Amino acid sequence: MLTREQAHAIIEKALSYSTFPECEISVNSSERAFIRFALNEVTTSGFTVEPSMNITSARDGKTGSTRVDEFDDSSLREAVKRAERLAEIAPPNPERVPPLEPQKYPELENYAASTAAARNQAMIPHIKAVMDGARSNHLVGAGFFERSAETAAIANKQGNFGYGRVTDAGLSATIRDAAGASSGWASQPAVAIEGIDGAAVAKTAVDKCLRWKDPKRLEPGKYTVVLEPTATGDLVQMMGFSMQARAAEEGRSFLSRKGGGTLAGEKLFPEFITLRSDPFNKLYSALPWGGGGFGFGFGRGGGGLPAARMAWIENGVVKNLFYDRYWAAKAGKEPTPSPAHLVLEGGNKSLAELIASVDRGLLVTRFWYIRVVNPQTAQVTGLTRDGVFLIEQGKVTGPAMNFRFNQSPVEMLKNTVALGRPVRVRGGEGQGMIAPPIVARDFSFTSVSDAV
Amino acid sequence: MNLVENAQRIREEVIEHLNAPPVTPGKKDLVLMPSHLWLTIHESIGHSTELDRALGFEANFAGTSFLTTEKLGKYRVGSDLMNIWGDRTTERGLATTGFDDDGVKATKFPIIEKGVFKHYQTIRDQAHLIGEHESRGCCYADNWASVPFQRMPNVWLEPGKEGTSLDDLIGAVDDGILIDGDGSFSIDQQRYNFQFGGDAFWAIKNGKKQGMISRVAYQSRTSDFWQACDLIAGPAYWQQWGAPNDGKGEPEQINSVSHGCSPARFRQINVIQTD
Repeated sequence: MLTREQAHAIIEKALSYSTFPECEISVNSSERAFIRFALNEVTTSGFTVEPSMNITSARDGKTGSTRVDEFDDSSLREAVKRAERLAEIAPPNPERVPPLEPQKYPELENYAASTAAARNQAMIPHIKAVMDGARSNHLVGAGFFERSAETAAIANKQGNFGYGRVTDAGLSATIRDAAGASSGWASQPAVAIEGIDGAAVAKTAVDKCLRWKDPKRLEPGKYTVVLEPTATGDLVQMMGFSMQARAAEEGRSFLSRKGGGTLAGEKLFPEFITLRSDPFNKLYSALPWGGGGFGFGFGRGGGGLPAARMAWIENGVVKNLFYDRYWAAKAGKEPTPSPAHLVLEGGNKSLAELIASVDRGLLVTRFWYIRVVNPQTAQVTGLTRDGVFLIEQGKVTGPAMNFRFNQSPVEMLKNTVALGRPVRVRGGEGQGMIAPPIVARDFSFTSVSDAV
Repeated sequence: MNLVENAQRIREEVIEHLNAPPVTPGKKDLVLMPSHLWLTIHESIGHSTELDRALGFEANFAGTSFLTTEKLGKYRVGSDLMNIWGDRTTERGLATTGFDDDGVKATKFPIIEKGVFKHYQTIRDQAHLIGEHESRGCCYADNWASVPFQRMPNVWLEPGKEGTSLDDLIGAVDDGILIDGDGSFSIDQQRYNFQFGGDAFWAIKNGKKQGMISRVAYQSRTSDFWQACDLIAGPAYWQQWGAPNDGKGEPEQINSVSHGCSPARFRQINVIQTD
């Protein structure tokens, strides 16, 4: 893993080979350790150490990019030359923005040395706990434990330089009965590996599997739903992509106003809905930059502007739209942080209290295979997975078969009537977020799925 | 890709699509072009016939499969017209190779024969688990740091009889939709229930292609859908499409795969009106 000094020295070396007026560099050093298991046995494990450097050179609006994973003088010199050769043959990029002047990055580091040091010995007890939980109930466990650590630096020829370190860990488990007739799931992401509790993951997933036996076929239609935090996050994280000012101004988003303009400043949601980006939240490990563009990976580095908090929806009002540096300059606005590290603020109610508040509805563990159907309404389709339960008169009365839904998370938040305590979640797809359990009315299920 | 040649047509279609009336939902006959049907093949047949999924090795992420091992050799997935091949030897196929990452020579094998499920996609580690004596050459890792595992070969649908035309498919439809290109796509973790949109939709009334319609998606169950297939256009219409970014495994790995087919007709599929 590269220290700040090492990263700085490598970047300075690469920049010294640049002959173009613009050269932007990001350097990463990452370590990843993982164990995968299925059928109550470990199936694969791995440990990778991967350095990489991305170089973008530009002249007269023409850009060329390359990537290199060896940092000796010869490799760096050749890589910079390659980026310049590619720029020479590229057409000018009409949306190229000027290189950043030196930035003042915040002191932002939530790096767990324990996570970075962890290898299989740290993960195995938790995986064993999941398998023991499955075996002792005559069930079958599958899952994945991964921890990662990364150092990253960005710099350019104009003298900007930033350095950061991040760690993350996550355990997920699916528990099925031997006949494949029931399934339960649980997941736990954490910055520090000590935050992972295999026994707790096992207990939740086993309990779900045991309770989701012989699910009843219910008619599709509109239901009040109680979404567990992962289910909330699965849908609300999709809204991050929808916050782009450009899409809104061009009429392509739910934030487009009919006839032109955007819905920024409008109160679209109940008073208690606040959705923000917060890279400083201690449940996240974030880099000190993260705004102004999608370069260096969505949500990782943005356009290289300093990381900052940003409210997208505040007390029900559309507070801000995401402006990258190009669109901000065109629209005469300031660029904003990227819509990553999302937090949907919650309340104080427990999941049990939310369930107790519902006369008739469905409790949903999580969603799967969610894809955009119509970006102008944010409508998405997908399916429930690993536990759906009927709620009657405030009590869970039995399992229900999975459903396909066609539903906009925007409409879902408009129809939300209660929020519980937020936690960090990561479902089957996407980066996850910090989300509470919610109660929402009129959630649209359109067909039944036989899948278990 | 003939981008310049197609630009004017696409422009006109975009304008027509934006002003097209929404579909009236209900059961309709669908005529699906290769630019669209390849993805339905990929999701409903390509993934459901992966042996590692059927055995439970992918249970935590991609999921399992409705095609469990006791169905091998006897389960009817589709109509008699349905013949689907796993094939790593296809000309210009994205998953075409000489040898797989186990070192097994690339093969071509029937996955569905006359509508019946005949073979899984297999690798050396797992073929013996279903009593087979050799792998079908479907092992692949996307990177030096990735563990090789079972990935999808090119999976393609055999064309119909020589001389069967697109007009033949459309001509016997009273109330249907012609769908071209990809749209939204989603399928459950056992590959039963799916929903597909598309890029362009034309109404078919009384055997004739009409103007464009909009806000179309169809939902079905894999075996219901393929059993509703009653005509496939001939070899002259066969085209190969594909995905460069098919995801599977933990850590997730990417695979590139091609799917060829001719236009095909599916009777009385549930069509919904999207937002």
